[in-house]
Order: sequence, then structure tokens, then C-alpha cells
Amino acid sequence: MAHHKGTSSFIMQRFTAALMIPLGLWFLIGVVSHLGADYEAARAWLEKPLNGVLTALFIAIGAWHMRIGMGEIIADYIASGLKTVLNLVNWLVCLALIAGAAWAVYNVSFAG
Amino acid sequence: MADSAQTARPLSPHLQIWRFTVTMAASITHRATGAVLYGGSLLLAVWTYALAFSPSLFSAVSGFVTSPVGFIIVAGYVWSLSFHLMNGLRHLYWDSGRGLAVPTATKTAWAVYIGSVILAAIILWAGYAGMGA
Repeated sequence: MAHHKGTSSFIMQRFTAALMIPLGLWFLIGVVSHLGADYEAARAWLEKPLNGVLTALFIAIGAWHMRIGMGEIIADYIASGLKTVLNLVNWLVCLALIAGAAWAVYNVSFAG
Repeated sequence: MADSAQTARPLSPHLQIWRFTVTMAASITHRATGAVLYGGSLLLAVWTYALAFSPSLFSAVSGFVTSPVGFIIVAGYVWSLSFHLMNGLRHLYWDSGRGLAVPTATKTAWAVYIGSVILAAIILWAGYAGMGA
């Protein structure tokens, strides 16, 4: 990544990757294997504190990991001034993802 | 940020210059699945939004997931996550300084391809078998 923070990006990429291994397995087993659930059942599932916290963590830590990875792709293939714009869009998408997931989980857990 | 040293950086060599090996394919697939998961996480955000705020949007999402196009998208996401997760373990193992010999890296690349298909198939079977009626 071309912002003179290569070492910290490298470390955070590995750190978030390590966290995503158990979270990813949990997500595959806990969420995807319940794809058939109807609205009430899915909501009851997400209302459980552990499921809400882990869902929010999966999305938030995943978004952090995504930002670093997409930043690498942009740095590798985009040379023009477009790079700065794409990096900003990348930041905004990942921030919106974190905020959106936190807001949704909060609403299911406390405002339902 | 936009200093001249930055704009003069070289680009990465593009896909067409590599001779085909399974390790090269796994490397490219790792990046491609990462990009797929980037898009897939936005769909996941739609799912959590629907669950929190809109039962009608949720039932539309559920209906889409069971359609042929929806199945292909879900299957693509599940396999991408399986592959990226397993190949990520391979990367973390390399970071420890082990598993870097070519014969080992070739074996683990095949293991990741085969293992990720098996994991994705089990998860998808569990997810879609539960739908029944």
C-alpha cells in the first residue's frame, strides 16, 4: 500500500485474517446453514447476544480486512490519479459497512 | 499523499505473463475470491438491514436466494469464503517461515482447492436441505 504505512498494513492484514478464521467458520455454519429460516426464526437467532456480537464482529473485522486487501489491488493495478479517488471510495464503503451492520444488529437486539 | 514518488510506482505484472502452475492459480484465485467477498459482504449488509428494518425486503431476499440465479450467487460466495479462508491459513503458515518449498506449496494448493469445494458443498447442502417446504 502506497501510503508509507506498509508494515502496519501488513501486520493488521494478518491480525484481522487470524480473527476471521474462527469468525468465518462460525459464519458459514451459523448463518449460511440456516439460509432457509423465515423472518421470525432468523430474527430470533440474531437477537441472541452471542449471535449478534459475532455477526457484528464478522462484518466489522471483515470490513477492515477488506479495506486492506482492496487497497493492495488498487495499488497494484491503478497508476493514475484515479487511485486516490478509489482509495477514498474503498474507505467509505468499508466504514458504511461497519456502521450499517452495527446499526442493524443494535436495532434487532435492543429496539425490537 | 499524492507525491511524485507515489505516482511513479510500477504496476504489478498482469495475469497473462505467468506460466500455469497450481500455485500461481491459487494465488490469483485468492485475490479474485477476495474481490468476490468484497461484493458479497454488501449483500450480507442488505440481509442484516432487511432483518432489522423490513420483513418484506427480507422475504424478497429469501425468495431470491432460492431462485437459480440466487443459488449461483450464494454458492459463489460460500465457495469464495471457503477458499479464501483455507488459502489464508496457507498464507499464515508461510508467514511463520514454513511450507514454502515448491513441492509442499503445490500440495497445499491442491488441498485448498479440493478442501474448499468439499466445505462449500457441505455448507450449501445444510443450508438448502433445511428449506424443504
